[in-house]
Amino acid sequence: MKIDRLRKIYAVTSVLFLVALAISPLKDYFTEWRSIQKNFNDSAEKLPVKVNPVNIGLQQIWNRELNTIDRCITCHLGISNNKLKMSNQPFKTHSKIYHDIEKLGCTICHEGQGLATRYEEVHLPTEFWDQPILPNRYIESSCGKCHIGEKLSSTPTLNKGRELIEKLNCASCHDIPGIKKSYTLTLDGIGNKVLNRNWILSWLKNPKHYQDNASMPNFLLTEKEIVSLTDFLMSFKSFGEGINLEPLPDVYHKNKTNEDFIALGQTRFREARCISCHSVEGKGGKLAIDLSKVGSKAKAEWIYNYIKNPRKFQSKIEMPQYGLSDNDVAAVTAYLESEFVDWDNDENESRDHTPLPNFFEEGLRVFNTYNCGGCHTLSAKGITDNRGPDLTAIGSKKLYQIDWGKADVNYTIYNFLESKIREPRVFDESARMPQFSLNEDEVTAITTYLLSLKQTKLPANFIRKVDERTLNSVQGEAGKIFQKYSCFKCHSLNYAGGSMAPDLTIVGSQLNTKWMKEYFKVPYSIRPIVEERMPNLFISEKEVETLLNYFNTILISDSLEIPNGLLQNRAEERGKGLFKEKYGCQGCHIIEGEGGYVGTPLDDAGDRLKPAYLFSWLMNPQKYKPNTIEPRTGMSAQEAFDITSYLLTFKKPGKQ
Amino acid sequence: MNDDKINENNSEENVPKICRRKFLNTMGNTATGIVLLGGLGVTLDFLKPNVILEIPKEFKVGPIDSIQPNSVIYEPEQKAFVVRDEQGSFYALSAVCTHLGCTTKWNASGIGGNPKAIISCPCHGSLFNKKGELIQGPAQRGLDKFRLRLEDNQLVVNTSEIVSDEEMILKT
Amino acid sequence: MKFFYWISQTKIWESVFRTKLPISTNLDRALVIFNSLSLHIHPIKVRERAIKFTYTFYLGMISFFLFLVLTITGILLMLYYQPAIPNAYENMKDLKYVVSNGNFLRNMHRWSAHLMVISVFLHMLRVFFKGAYRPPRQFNWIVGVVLLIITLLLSYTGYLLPYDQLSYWAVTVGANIARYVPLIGEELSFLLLGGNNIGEYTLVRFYVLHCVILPAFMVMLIAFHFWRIRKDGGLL
Repeated sequence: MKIDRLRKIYAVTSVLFLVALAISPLKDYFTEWRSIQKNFNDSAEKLPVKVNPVNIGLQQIWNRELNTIDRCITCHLGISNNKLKMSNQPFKTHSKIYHDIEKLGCTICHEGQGLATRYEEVHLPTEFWDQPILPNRYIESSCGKCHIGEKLSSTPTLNKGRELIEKLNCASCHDIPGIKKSYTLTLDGIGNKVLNRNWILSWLKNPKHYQDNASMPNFLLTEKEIVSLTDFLMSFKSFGEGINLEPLPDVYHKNKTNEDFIALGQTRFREARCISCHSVEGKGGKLAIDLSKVGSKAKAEWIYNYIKNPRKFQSKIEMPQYGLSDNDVAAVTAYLESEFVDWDNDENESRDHTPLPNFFEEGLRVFNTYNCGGCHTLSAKGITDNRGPDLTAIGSKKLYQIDWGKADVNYTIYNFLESKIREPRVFDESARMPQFSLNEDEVTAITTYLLSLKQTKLPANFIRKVDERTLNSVQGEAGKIFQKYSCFKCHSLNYAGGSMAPDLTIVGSQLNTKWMKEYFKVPYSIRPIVEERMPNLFISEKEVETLLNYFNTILISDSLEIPNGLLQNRAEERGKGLFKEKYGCQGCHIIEGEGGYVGTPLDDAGDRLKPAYLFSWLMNPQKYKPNTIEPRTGMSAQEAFDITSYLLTFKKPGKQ
Repeated sequence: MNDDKINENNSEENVPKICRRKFLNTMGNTATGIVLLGGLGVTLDFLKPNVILEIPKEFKVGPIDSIQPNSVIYEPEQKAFVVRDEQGSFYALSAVCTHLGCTTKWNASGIGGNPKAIISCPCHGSLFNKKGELIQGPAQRGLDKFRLRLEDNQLVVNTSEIVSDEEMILKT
Repeated sequence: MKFFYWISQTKIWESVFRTKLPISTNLDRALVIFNSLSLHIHPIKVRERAIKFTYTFYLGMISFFLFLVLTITGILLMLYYQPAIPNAYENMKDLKYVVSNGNFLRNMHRWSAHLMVISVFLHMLRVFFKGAYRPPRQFNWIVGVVLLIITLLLSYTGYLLPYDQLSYWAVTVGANIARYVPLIGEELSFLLLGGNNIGEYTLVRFYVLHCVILPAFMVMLIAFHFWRIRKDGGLL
């Protein structure tokens, strides 16, 4: 009887063992990726184009340099198969990028758990992997991991993020690698600059009320804080040691209501292209403040002094110092005072306002709390640099280090950054970060840039860092001129600097000296569809001479030359044929008054461009301007020479 | 036979008990047997890696224009010589000696006073000529030749495909 | 049957198994037990109540069986494991995602380890309540306690090997507990970690402890433990 019971136990347990053992191989066999691969092979047969079926089995990309293993291609079977462009995920062809996907791997850009082979664990955040797949809207942040500070044409969001961070002056409170804080107006003498106290009050309440595109964010101050800060600021009447306001010239007092005088001011205002940087009623540039209501904000005396020499008040301000005469400046002042007035403004200062006894201490406290000194300089004792968190490696901040407060978001680093930028006090109501008014695209762009700031151990040969010293490398006289006219606010050198105007790295080899000289006198927009932005700087002949010298000796390329041994005779004729017939250039370019509006008109090409550059450009436009839309046609050297010869015949009459 | 007889004898006395015992025994033994065999299978399955960290069998040498005629490129990771001869055509040889698998060396200026390029094996002294043909043993045959093809003007070598002397040349 | 009989008469069989078949006398039966490695744990004569399930609950044998399972699965797992940072964690992922039955073996190793701690502990309780530690078995009780400690140490050292957050902090805590040992605490923790913090050295140290040093001691002591059971007069 007892032996029988043991026998029963033996039988049952051995069968249980068998079942337990069978589970693991069965689970291995009925795994998700295997059915996806079978699905691929089934659907590959039905496709009209021939797609080779895959061998069932795990596949991976091993990048030895990065030490990554990505098994994504086990299911994403079509990434490098051009025939599957129209397929659905997971079999779709990868969009075209400049890197070799099969070498580089996937997670270096997309993140997620490359080692895993199950959907949830690969794509979504799990307990043991807190970097889920990066949503596509932030994907460009991965480009920024290696291309540090580079402005690539294929990363518009990343570039926009960087521009916004520069524009919003995030670096004034946060450490962000490669971004220096920019300077806004000093607050020294603000009590003497503004017309009355009410302006500061309303400005502090919400800068956007005064001006839609105010660059100062809303610090969400309480009523009490606003009053004490205003009284504190109004007590600063001196512009700094040795800096005094020049009195307005007599001509201003005499003529300030004279229509001709105001008209002169208006002409100068237009010639100087003030609205390339400044906006008026929301129209114009976005680099500097809006001028619509400046007459109701600042005293005329201050405006006059400021236009004459902006750097007198703030040495690092980027407004160029125009070479205008005193009379012209007075006229511009009169024009501003007469036209740019806020008609709703309450001009009457409440005379009976007496500041609280401790207004100075209280105002200083508010000033320091919100780190006003991060953007504005003020010569007062007791101002501290009360900065925010360091953002150097914010993209790889650990999730457990984040205080999520009561915010209702999924715990991922990009959700944290996006929520914080959108609404800075969402995680903590006592946070100090001000409220910026940004649209969703801008929030995404800034998040993308911040995500690119990662603490990575990428091999050195992966990193492409733009040398930040390039802009400061312009030394001597030319450097001073570059600074005086703030050239790099718009132009760039080696693709570092502004992005509004052409790169100047090899300008000396590109353009004819004579043409440039004319251009400085009367700048115009080369392309008909682009608004005119280059200001007339009223730059002196001597300075132009120095600059052109610098262009022609330093900013040149040695590699530009036309090879020998090309057919010389009748080149123009053949070039005409190639231009008009074979390559159809007039689709974009205007020549002899006809053609498209996208490219630059070429009617003055002979005046403007140097032959060697024109030739090299035709051979490979992207080499000289990576984001140009001009196609690389693959024309032969002879053809390029012919077109060059043809284009060089076009010169503006009368300019010689 | 004997067992059956015993069972038959016993069954007359206590039929259901013996049947039950036999059934349980068989069930237990069979299950245990399968578990043992299956366990061995599962273990063997475990021992065979599904993914391995090895470099791909196919590799790109570079654009063909960048390779000069009468030159050789050695790919240390793939152990392959990629050769462009005087006529400008390409071929690829395995650098693995066919004797016992040592990596051979390309001597561009020859050895032993003979100025002709020669491939030598450091282990046991086998010699091969530029085309990978055997000159001197102990190896018994010439070096393996890999399949070459062009892809967007890029030279691609496939080390998993070994081809004959006629097939190995890629003319341009 | 004839075949088996033939086999049992060959020289090879005789050289391996000292007992001659067929077994017919009581002496033969005694010799079977006496000459067998696995069976001679018991004395030649065993009282029937001593091999009843409820007498020992087979707890010692269950512990030993789990140790065998752990050894086999452990050796297999070693084939896919590198004690290096960050390879260790990635190897865990490989076992989970790409190695056939890797997850099964890893889980088996883990569960067997938990069960072994439990069964060793229950074994000790059984011995305690049955009074089986009394002379002449007092020394075997000490050996048993050492075996329990080695079991716990094996569990602890194995904990670091996946090198995830859980293991990292568990070992940090463990090393700090070692720090409280009077006089030599700091030294002990430094030796254990091969440094002041957990790093590459710690991982290798724990790996060697887990796979070589502790199992070696374990095997020797288990053998001694079994031998002493027999010499101390069998099960009680």
